[in-house]
Amino acid sequence: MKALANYCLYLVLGLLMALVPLSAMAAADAPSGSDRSAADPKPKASTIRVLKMQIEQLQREDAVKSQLLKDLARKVSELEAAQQQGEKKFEARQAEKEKELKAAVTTEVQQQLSTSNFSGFMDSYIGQHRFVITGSAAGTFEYDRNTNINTFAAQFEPIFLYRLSDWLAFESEIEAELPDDAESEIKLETAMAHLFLTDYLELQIGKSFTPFGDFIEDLHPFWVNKFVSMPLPFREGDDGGLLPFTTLGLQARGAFQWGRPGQDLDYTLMVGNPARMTDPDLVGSMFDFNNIATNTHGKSFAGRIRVYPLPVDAEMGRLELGASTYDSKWLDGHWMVSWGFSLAYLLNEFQVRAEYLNTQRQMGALASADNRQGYYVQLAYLLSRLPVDYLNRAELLFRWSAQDQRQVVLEDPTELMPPGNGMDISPQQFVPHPREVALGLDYWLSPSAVWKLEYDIELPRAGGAVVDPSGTLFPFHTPNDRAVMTQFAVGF
Amino acid sequence: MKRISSILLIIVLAVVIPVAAANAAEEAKAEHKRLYRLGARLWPTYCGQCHKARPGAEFSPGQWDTIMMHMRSRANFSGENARAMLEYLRAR
Repeated sequence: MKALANYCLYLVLGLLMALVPLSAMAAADAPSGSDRSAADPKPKASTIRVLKMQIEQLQREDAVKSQLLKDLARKVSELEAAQQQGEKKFEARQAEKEKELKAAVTTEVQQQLSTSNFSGFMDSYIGQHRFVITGSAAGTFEYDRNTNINTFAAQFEPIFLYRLSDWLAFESEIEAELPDDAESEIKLETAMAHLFLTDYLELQIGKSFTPFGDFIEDLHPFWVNKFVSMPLPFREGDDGGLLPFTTLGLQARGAFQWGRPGQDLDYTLMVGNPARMTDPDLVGSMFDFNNIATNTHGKSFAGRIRVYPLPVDAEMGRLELGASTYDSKWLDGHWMVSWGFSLAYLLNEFQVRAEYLNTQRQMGALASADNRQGYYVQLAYLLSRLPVDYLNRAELLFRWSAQDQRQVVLEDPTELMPPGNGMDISPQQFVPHPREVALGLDYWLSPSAVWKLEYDIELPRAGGAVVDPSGTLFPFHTPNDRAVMTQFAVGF
Repeated sequence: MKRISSILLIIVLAVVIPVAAANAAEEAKAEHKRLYRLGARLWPTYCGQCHKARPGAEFSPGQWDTIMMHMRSRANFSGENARAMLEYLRAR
């Protein structure tokens, strides 16, 4: 208790000691109406001390603020530098990204415009309906010795294909030539619809090539036929051939594999308008270009079968054996009956083809039967094994063709004699028993572009008769002849 | 009971249909491969029978679809062989 009291006493005394100078200092600072400072001119030391302390305090604060300002200025500089650096990095990155983007876009565009992609786009744009133009064209130069004819010629045969669906398509072929008496000569070679009913049966309706042998249907296009000219019996009907080239009618055709791949059998059956001739009452009349007619009491029938006995894997080549018939009613009760064989063998660079054709036409009371026959044999050898570049695209050719008939009907038989203007090259092809040796050299620039050179030796046999459309006999000769033809043909 | 049956049916279909679709896709791919291999064997012989065999790059796949219909008729190919050669030519 006593200690506590002493403690309190000491505390009060201490407070008094502290408060007295402070109040004195406050009294000295405060303005007063009385002239206290005048009465006391000398500042007190404590005031000076306080002022000094305040000044020091302010100086310290100023120093701190200066330091702060310096720090801020430094930071601003650092930020400015960082910003500049950041901008540079940004620009560099921007440029890099642009470059990457450009490269990516270019690659994408190139990929999109690649052949297959572009084709894909066009396919999807066009849709499932496809219209395609193919065909062939040729430019030819011909020279015949006996007639001294030398002329350029051109032919163009586009094929228009339209696919409506997987089983229905339309096709038409136009033949355009340059005759010597007109600007152009256009023929509708074929126009037909294809209906693929099963894997083994197709119906073909319209104007199509006569399904007889191989040459008429498969081998006559310019870029397929290895020669410039056609074999004698298989020329177009209005050029002296033994069958009509085309027929209006309906075909059922197809093929099936009877053994290993390559061992096939194909068949064709046809019913159509009968064959039409320019001078049907005369033995040896040529066929008309088409057999459309408004009055057809009779019909024509054709059939062909071809067998391929060698399998592909045997690597023994491709052998084809075929038999054909074409039978047409040409006059009430009178028939024209044709039959023939075909053979083809292909083994690597070597090819041999042969066809034989025989026709017999009943003439009734008009004359004895109009019998005709013809054949050809063709050999080809591609020099692909030659170790010399470019020369290994050449192909050597040989063909022997012959035709026999009792009589020939010509629009103007005088064309048989020199100068023979108006004839298709050698007049000796139009006598009753023509014989022709053809030597050829082909140069293949590509599988569908070929330059051909052909040298024909005409060796007609004597005999037979030549008449004009009125039936008047014309005396004629059968001299040998030579002809040279060259042609550039393209399939597209 | 009816509701349970419906749910079970939906579950079964949800499993069976994708599996069947995947199987069908696999089979289609295998068939394409088979046809391609067959077409590669046949193309030099069949397409070189009358004329020089033309490479697939000469025409677009869509054009080959149309051209092969024309050639199948002209050369008398069976449907299977025509499809095989078409598969090969389209891929070239």
